[in-house]
Amino acid sequence: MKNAMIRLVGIGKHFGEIVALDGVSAEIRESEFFSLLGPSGCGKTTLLRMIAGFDEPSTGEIYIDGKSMDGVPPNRRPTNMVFQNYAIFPHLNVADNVAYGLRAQRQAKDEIRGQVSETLEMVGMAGFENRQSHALSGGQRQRVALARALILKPKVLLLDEPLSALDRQLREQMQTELRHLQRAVGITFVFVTHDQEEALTMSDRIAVLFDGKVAQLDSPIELYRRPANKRVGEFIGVMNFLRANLISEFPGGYEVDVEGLGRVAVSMRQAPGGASASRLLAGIRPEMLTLVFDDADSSENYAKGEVVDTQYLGDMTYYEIALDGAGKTVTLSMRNTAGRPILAPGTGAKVRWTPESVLLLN
Amino acid sequence: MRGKPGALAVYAAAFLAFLYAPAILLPVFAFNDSKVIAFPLSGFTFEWFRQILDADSLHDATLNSLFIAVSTAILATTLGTFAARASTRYRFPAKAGIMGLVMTPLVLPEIIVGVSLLVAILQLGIELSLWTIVLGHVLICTPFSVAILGSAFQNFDKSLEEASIDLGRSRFATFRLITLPLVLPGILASLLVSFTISLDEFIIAFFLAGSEATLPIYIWGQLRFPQKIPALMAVGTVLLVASLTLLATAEFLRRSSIRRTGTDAAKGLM
Repeated sequence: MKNAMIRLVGIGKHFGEIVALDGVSAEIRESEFFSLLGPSGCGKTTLLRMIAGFDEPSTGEIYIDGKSMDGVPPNRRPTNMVFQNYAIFPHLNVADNVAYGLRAQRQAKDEIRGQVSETLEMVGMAGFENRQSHALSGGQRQRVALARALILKPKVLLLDEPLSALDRQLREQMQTELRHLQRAVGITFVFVTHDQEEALTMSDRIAVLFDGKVAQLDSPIELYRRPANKRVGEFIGVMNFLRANLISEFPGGYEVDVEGLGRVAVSMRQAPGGASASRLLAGIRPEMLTLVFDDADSSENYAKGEVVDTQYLGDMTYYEIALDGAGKTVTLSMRNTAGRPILAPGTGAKVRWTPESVLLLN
Repeated sequence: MRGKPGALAVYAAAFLAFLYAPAILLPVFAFNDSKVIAFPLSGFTFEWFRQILDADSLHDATLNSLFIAVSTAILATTLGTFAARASTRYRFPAKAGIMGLVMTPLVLPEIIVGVSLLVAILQLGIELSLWTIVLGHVLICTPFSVAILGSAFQNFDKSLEEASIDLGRSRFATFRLITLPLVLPGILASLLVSFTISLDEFIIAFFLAGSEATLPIYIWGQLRFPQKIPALMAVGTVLLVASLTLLATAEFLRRSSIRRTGTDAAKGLM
């Protein structure tokens, strides 16, 4: 495993009575694309600003590359930031913006010019040196902001929701580019976002923050497959929640009675919080439920119900299905492969599931 | 609204004529070859401008006024910069009350300000001089400066300063390289406005002047002598041209700054 580049130890922050961060501890590894994901107001931007040095934690300590950052001002930290609005200096042209940090280090002019054009080329902005900054598009500003930060070769690049101002198409393009860029330069990226899809596609690991606390820190795959609790499961992707009652515990798992599905044996792995309470929730992703069109299908694990709503999206179809014996409908998604019928609302449906796709949550 | 364009146009024309006709009369009579300010005009002359060149007391008063206006502009803009930055960047106790007190001279009758300052200054045993006038003028110009620079700082994106520090610059370098260039149009606007207000301010200057007169005080004094009035018309003409030049310069600076930065730091004030 790679070394820790950033260590957050019990970080707390309060503004008067309001607690913005509450005992956040985490390790961010070297050369990692790390995302801080959470709804607005969860404290993710505050945490990023503390790593940058713009805010001081009320409690706890931040270590970057093994050194305590206590009392170290932003201009002395091995971090650089890409701001949400890019903060391009409006009175300077592209080259002067990118060279801004290098000039503070009093390097030779030719040296600076060489590095500026090199860095601009890296972010796909070669030849834009003399462009005035107010004549740049949103995507170009983003690239200039990246170049301006990366030219200083920081140990950590901090990105504060840098894609939120871009339109969808450009955002998706920049996601790929940012990922490639991160791999190419090998710098640790700490990326703040409220967009779970963005975090899933780009990150090596994600810390999900709710109300100033880390709800879960995991790889995108683990986070999606095994969310630690209902809130994480809801926040990342779509998840159905069905009421479940604990029947018994057996070696390696729990037997529960899930509304609409019946008896399910859930392995320990699928119950991240254990099964301490008698009233539990069974979480199941829409793509883990399958409609069975063949009446002869003899698999055991299926439930009967009725299609309530059909949403046709071209490649996929989303169904709302009322399972017999369940209090609310479940969402189910089917890929529209050749010859597969689309069920209209009102038709009966046979839904297959597997015990491996059922999560037990508190 | 489209029903009576005729009436509205007449109203607008009359309004503008009423506003500017007196100012146009200044140059007309300044070049008129007659001691009487009345139509019909009798001929063209530079005599009154020549008289200006010879009037030593006018030159002294002008120099006094320029000294006061420049000092006032610099002091009021400096104080205004501090106050505007404090009010847009920081939170502190009783902020609304303090900012209210700073802005109050804007609405106080100048005669009240003049009288109370005179009483206070005499009680303190300070001798009246050009500096006491500067003091009064700074008091009434600072609110204008705060208003102008407040809007400049308000439009100023705080993350630009943070970005500069994040890129390794000190706070002082950040102020010099980022903050100052970006609020410069606002500072120039504040200097020009304070300068103009101070230059033609009469009431406070009249109360706080010692033995030396300012230009408005001189002009007021000369009105007692009818034969001097044509020369005053010439003085007025010079002042008119000077203010128009200043205004045009300010507007030119503002537009070039918009071109340069894409933002308008002196929005809505010029």
